[in-house]
This record gives sequence, structure tokens and C-alpha cells, in this order.
Amino acid sequence: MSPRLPRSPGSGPAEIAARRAVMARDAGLARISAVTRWITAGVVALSGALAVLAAQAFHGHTVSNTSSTTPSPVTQSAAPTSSQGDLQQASQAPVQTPAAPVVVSGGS
Amino acid sequence: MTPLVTWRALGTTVIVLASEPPELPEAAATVHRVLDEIDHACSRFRADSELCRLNAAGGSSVRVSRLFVRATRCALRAARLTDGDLDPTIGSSLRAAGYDRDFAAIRAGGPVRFRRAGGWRSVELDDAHSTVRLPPGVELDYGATAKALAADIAAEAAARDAGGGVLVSIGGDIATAGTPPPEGWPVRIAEDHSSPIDGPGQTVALRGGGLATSSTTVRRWKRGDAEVHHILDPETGRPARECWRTVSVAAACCVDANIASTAAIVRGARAPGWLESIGLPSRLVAVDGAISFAAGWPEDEHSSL
Repeated sequence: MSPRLPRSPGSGPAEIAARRAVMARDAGLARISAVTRWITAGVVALSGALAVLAAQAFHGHTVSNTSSTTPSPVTQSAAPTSSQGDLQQASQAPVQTPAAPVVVSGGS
Repeated sequence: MTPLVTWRALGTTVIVLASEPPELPEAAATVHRVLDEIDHACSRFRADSELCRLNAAGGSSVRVSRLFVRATRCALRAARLTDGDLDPTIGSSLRAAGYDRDFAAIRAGGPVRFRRAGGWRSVELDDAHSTVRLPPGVELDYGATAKALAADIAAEAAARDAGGGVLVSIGGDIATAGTPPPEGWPVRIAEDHSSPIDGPGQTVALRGGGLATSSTTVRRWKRGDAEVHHILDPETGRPARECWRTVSVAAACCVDANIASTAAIVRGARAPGWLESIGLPSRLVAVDGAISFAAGWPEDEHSSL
């Protein structure tokens, strides 16, 4: 239905045509805006649905946070082992012996 | 005479002893295998090693073996425990100083240059993904700890495979595992691991753990007018100032003994107090030949060099 334009004294055919064009433009813009809102809502809903689907389809795994953009002391990322602590003493200190040596410890 | 097996590997002499002689061949075979693996992982002088591949990676992250991860952890622990007196990023410093090939192949060259270590805190180890990344220009050298780690791993593996007690010496860095002989392993303490077994020195019995000796009297070379030894101070990239020429340390394992003996050379006059504070029995030979003992090392008034 085309909008009715108020007739005013002195309005000529050219002015009436211009007003009709403006109203037609406004109506077109309103339709485009409504369509855009529906498309945006649809995309958001579809993204959510896909995210839920993907989360159910693929089980997650823990990623070790051992690297970062800032180099950190690597000892933090080293897996704990028995030799990560301080220097360890032997259970028995060496003792003087008159026995004939079997091997030499020296610089190399 | 105690039966032993000896050969050359990792640029030095390897000796394997077993408390039960029949087990010696199997123990030696196990040690062979372990050293091959360590060499392939950590050698600075073979282009196909993991260490060389990482040094040449130009800042990229490199996937490495679990053994290399372990060696890296070991080297970084050494750096942490010595406040950087041992630093695995000393590779480029050694190369600049002329130690750029297997020691036996070093020849007199141009003037020596000194370059401080890259800094161990810059090494990025991702243990979970077995990757290591170095900043461009930083080069690793695991010489200070890899041999000792090899000795520890090899001794444990050989004792497990062969049974009985096993002693592994790699260039004089000694690891033991299993049940030792009743009187312990008699070890001659000398300045050079290739010294005659009846040469000057002190003999101690080792009943377990490890023993390492670091010395500035070996692996010396000349470049231009400068005479250089292989224990560099990471802070300066220059050979450590010679306060002690030889330090021997006993500890729970060869790695810990080696960390302490090498750091003691770098620490100089501060070394005896530090060794005493951490309780590792030590024998220190000063540049003038005077011998000091720390933390319960058996004092031998008749001990000579």
C-alpha cells in the first residue's frame, strides 16, 4: 500500500514525487535493518549450537602451561625428578685406604 | 689386578669395573649403549647430534628426545644451584676461545676471543612437549654435566642388567651402582685421569655415589699469545682465574660431584666455604700445590699431587 501524502496548498506534482521517493527510501531502509537483525540473531544462535555440538563431540585434554611469550626460568617447566633439589651428599664419605687403586679420578 | 674394560668415547677414556668379574662383559655392553645414546644427543662435535641441531636452529623451537630433555634439565639445574657459575649456554664462548672441535683436533690458530655466555635463563625447555628453544646466537655446551650424567645413567643401567656392583669412569668422573666390593672401590685421586695408577696422589675408598675431579691442568691450548684452559667463567667467557688447579668432590651421584668440582674451580677462594656449607667432601689443590680438604674428605698428611 502506498502511503498517502498530505496535500498542501501550493504543492506541485514535482514536490509530491520527491516526498514519495523519500518515504520509499525510508521504508526500504527499515526493511534492510530488520533483515540484518534477523540474520545476526540467526548467526549467533547457529554459532552457539555448533559450539555445544563440538564440545560434546571432542573431549578435551590438559595442556601443560610450560611455555609463554616471556621466557621463564626453565626449571619451573622441568618435570620433577629425584635430582631436582640441592646437591646431595653420598650416604658414606670416601675414606682413606691402603688398598691398591683400581681407577684414577683426575681432570679430563 | 681387578678386571676392567676400557675404550675411548665422548672424547675421553671410559673404564668399567664390576664387582663380579663374570658380569663385566654385560655391564660394559650396557655402558657402550648408553654412551652412544648420550653422544648422539649431546655432542658438540658431531653435526647430527641433537645439541648441534638445536644450536643451529636460529631461534626456532626444536623437538628433542627424552634423553636430551633429561640432559637439559640436568644442565639447567647445575646452573641454578651454582648461581650460573656453570652455564650450559657457554657453547659460543668455548667456540670463540678456540675450543671449536674435538679437543684432540685443536690446533694453534688466530688470536683468542672471549665472549660471555648467552645466559641459562634464556633457554626455554618445554618438558611436556619435549621441545627446547634458544634465542638466536645462543649455543649450548653440556660438557660440564653430560659426561657425569652419562656415567650415572650407565652405572645404574649396567648394575641392573648385569647384577652386582658396577663402577663407570668417564674421563675420571666416576659413578657407582649396585653393591660395592666389601672394602669399597679404591680410587686414586690425581690431577689427570690418564695418570699412571701408581702415580702421585691419594687413594680413597668409595662405597657408593659418585666422585668427580675438575682440573685446569688438562685440556689447555694456545691461541696467539694466550694459553687457555677449558673451564670458562660464564660471566666473562674467559678461563676461570686459577685459584685451585684441581678439585675433587664426592657426592650422592657423579652429576652432583661434577657440578661441585667444576663450580669450585670457577668460584676460586669462595669454594672451600661453599663446599663446607653444602657438606660435600672435597679435596682442593691450589695453584702452588698446597692441598686443602673440606667437609670430611679424609686428610692424608702424606698425600702428594
